[in-house]
Amino acid sequence: MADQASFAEDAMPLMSSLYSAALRMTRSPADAEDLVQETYLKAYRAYERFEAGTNLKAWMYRILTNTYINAYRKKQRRPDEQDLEDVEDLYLYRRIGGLEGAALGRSAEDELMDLFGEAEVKEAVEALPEHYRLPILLADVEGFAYKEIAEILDVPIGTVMSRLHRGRKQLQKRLYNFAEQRRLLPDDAISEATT
Amino acid sequence: MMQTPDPDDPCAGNPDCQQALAEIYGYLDGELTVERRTIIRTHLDLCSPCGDRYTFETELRQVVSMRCQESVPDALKNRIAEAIRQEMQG
Repeated sequence: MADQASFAEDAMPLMSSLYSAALRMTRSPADAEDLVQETYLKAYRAYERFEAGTNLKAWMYRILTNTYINAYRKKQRRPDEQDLEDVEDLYLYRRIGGLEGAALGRSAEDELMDLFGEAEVKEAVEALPEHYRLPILLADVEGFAYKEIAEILDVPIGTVMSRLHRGRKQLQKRLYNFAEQRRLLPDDAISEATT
Repeated sequence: MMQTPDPDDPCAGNPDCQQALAEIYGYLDGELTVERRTIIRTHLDLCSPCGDRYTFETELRQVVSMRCQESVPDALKNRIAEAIRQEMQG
């Protein structure tokens, strides 16, 4: 059992992570703020039922996700929630995987940071259908294990794995489309990809 | 019989490479057993195209994660701290 008096001290450090996820979920700063506040209040009220020593972050994420699904999702449902066409494995690597070798002395990560700015990455993540977006946020941004994601989203582990697999490919395709649209890629990378 | 190597993919047709590819996300996610992890790690060390793929996926993941970090507006922090204080006072 957790002590309610220590809630603020325990839970406040998690706020930037929860707020980041809330923004990707709601795609609206005002809704994200309300969602995070509601999550904290619900968590505070239920804190006596939180088992001290277990994963507080996962517990808070479960509250965040359930609150989002119950309250915010309804008014935001978009027409893009249907399933998407399949995308090949390692979609981005096959198209731009060689680029990082081009500029001497630069790491692949620097190249990818240049290619995909904050706005592009956020937009690509937010454009994903929700059943892909939530597992990706939990795994790729927050680093939760499959088992934790399964508990947070209340779906079987196999479902988590298949959604991550398909969602990651979709994300890569969207990222590539951004880079291509904005002509950020060298011409040879584009012509190779379109042939 | 000699196999003609695919110039675009030196790993095509190699079962070890196919296995490494199939488990690349399990590996990256830290979800493999110790035994599988060792097998894949050894393969990634020995096969540079597979190692490059793994490095690319790792770095892409880091970029996505970094790009999605937000800082909390001070007003929100204060609003939540105040709301909890009020709850505590009943």
